[in-house]
Amino acid sequence: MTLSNTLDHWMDMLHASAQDCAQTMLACSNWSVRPMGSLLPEGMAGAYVPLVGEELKLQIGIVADSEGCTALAKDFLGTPEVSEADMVDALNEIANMIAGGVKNRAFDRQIGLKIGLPLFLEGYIHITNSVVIETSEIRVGNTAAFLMLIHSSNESSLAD
Amino acid sequence: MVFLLVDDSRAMRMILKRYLTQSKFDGSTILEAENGVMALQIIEQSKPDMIIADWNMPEMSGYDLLLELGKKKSSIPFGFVTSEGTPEMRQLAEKGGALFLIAKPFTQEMFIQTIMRYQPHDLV
Repeated sequence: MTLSNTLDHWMDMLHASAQDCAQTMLACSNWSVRPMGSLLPEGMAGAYVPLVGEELKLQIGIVADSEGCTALAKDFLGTPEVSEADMVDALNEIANMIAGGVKNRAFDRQIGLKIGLPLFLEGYIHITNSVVIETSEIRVGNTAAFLMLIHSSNESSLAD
Repeated sequence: MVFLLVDDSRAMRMILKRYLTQSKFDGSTILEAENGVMALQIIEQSKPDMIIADWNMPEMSGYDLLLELGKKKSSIPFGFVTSEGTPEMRQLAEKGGALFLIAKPFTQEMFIQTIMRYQPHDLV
């Protein structure tokens, strides 16, 4: 199986997990996803969660602009206003939940995935030759955001 | 009814609290702890009627909290709300004495229905 095939499979699991989260805990019936290839969104903030197995190291991220992060946090917490600390906590939890959904969907692969601690970051990601990134634009209601899958460009690291 | 919510994420505690207070459990006392160690202290001081815990937490995980309560012969109903719901974890939870494991994401309705199924019926 080629790297792009395996990436597609992981992206499918990522999309399914994120949609599940949006439609349940963000109470959003209006959901869409648009694959953007290796496009690197700029000027974004968001949460990243590592998914690590014996032969696999992934980072799963959900990022948006400042207004998008606040809107996602408000939808998630069900409150009209959120503090910056609550926004960060909410985005971390959303990313954690999406990563959990990917792990559950990958369970039959028997690759012993473990979820690491979420990290909230603002700024630009510098991609090197040893890293592959896949991005999808999502719309959660009226909010635009991006899902990101970052992993080593070493094909065997996808454990397929 | 007294609930103890154990989760290192304040966001998740806020959501569970909202789900409970917007349901037939409105009026319940809701205690909060950030990890298993804090939960044990709270349980000693004010015996809750139900414990709802995350699995992965710093200091002491929800699973270790469950085992610790088992050693103490606790009879407080205990359930997990966690991001991971693999068959292995469900087996461990059941073996340890947990009544339920709700894997995120979930709706308010799913959460409340599960709590109602396992609540001590003489309390509500």
